[in-house]
Amino acid sequence: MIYRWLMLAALATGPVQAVEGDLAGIIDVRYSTVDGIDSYVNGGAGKFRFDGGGQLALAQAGLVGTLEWDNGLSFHAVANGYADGVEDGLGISEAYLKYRTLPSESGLRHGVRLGIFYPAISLENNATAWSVPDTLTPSTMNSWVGEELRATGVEYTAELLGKFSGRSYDLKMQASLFTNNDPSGAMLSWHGWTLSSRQTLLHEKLPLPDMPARNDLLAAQAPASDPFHEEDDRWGVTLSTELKLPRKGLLHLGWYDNNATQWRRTKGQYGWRTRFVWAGFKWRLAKAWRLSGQIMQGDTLMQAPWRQDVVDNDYRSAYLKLSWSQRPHRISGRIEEFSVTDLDSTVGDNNDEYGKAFTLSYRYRVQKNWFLLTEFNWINSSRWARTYEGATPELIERQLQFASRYYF
Amino acid sequence: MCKPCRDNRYSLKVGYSLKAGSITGLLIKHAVPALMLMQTWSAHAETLSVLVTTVDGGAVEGAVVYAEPSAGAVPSELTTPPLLIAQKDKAFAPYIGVVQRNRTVTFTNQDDITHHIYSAAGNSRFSFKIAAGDSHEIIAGAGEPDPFEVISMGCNIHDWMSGYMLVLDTPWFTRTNQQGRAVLSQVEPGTYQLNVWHPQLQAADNRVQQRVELHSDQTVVIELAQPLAPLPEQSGEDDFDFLEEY
Repeated sequence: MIYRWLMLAALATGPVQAVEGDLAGIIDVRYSTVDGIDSYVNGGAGKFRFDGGGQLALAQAGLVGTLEWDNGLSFHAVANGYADGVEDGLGISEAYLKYRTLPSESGLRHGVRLGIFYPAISLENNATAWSVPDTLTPSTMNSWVGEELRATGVEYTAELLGKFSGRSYDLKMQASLFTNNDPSGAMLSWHGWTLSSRQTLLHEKLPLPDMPARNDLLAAQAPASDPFHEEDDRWGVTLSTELKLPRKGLLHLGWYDNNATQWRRTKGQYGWRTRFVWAGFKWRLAKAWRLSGQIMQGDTLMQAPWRQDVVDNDYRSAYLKLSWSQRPHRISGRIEEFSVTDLDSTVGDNNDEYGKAFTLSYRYRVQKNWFLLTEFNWINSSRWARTYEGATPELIERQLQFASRYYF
Repeated sequence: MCKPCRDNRYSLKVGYSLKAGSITGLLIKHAVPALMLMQTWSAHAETLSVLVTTVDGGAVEGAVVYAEPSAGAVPSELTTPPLLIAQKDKAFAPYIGVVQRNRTVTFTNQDDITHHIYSAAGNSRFSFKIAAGDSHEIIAGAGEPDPFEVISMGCNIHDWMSGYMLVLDTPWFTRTNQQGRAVLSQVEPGTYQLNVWHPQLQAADNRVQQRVELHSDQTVVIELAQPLAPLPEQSGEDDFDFLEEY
């Protein structure tokens, strides 16, 4: 449906306006050594995207194609490829049309996105193909955004640029209506928070970990979750606002509700009513020092078709990141805390989790386009469900990564 | 940065146009009219020197100083050079450009990325994309005439980019140097409204005006009640070149 709109819009505007095409991308080649258990990506209970041991991987080959018309309309498509030996994949992760006006005399600018895009939640993933510029791995919060969240729909943005009216701040309001995100929350419940740079491609399905309830109350659940499935043709909603003090920092607040019908089940996929709020900030402490952080808190509910609660969870994740930079160096440290609280009484599906994580990352800019990064990740989590796969509930996992990143 | 557009030598308007971007073209555009002027301008014109300071005597640098004749039209044959505005390191260079109405303004993108230049207000709004290495010409003040047309410019891709263009009917304008001094030469004797303008000048319309009777070479001191507000920093928030809007 969305594709048809995109095509129509492109055809309608194509012949009368000049079009400029552009290709950008990122190649991230990474050696990682993991002291941990098998990755969640393949249905394991490990928190990283790589399995235990050492591996050389094409961690991301991202390609961004853009077509821009002179009238403010543009089309963006993002493809990502992964050859990491855990779950190789190649496919589309975003595709949307965007329209943006010029600021008015008072500095008001409107924008619309139509298609498949990331809800604007992460303050970390703001580089080519949703990569994180400062670190190799986003926080647990934004790792989940990359895994289970994607909006298929329309997003409206109103921005008030303060410089036109002598105000010292910019204000942004966003609202979106979206579909195809009804099972979001399933993987957060079943494997918990992760620390991972693996984005889910639009065609991908996510293998579930083993748990006794899959032979019982969850027997009708498909062996892999399709996070971008539409269950009930109901629109989900996001609302967010951002206050920006140019060159100082920003504050960001938002709300997400996928508005899924939690007792619906089609093609082995359940509707998960997933709602959360988030808040974040970035602050420039001094010329070389930046502090940033985000927190997300919400709930998710999934029921059997006869409306019995099967999964009812609250969850929360927060990080604080401090970054120092002096060209060509950048050092970033991040601490995190996360939890999932299981409120239902389903046997054989305990989703309780509590954990902390630490990331230390060093980036060296070799050339304008070429960066070398080293990153250490530590994650300490307590999760009863790991015992279903024969592991201990308490687990500390460590990961050391060396990467060469080339942007073009 | 482009020196010719800072210099304020008057020239005679010449009836040809050259494609911008060629060095020879630019030389001819600027140097030839300036040379022609030196030979032809009348001898009885005066020099008006202006010193712009703050109340405590500090020099105000970069302020635009222009004189508008109170009676009688500006001599129509007297014109100033066209204006060049570069986009360099994701900033407007110069930050403030002054140009006489109907002169050409040439934007040259010296960056390796596309810019989307627009004017936010004014009678002659414009907007155009300019690819890396390309240039784009407009005619200054092509819309409804406004004797004091301040055009605030931005880039719709890089929001921190900020530049100003002041479109004037008078050919007598220049900018103060490091010492706060500005010299308007070849000014006909008469009565003038002398203006000092800067986007960061803290006064109504960012402007201070004073009436001047010019009979012979003269120096006028203009004191600003407050120093200029800090200039906006024209650079990205991040030192990373591959950011996208997410």
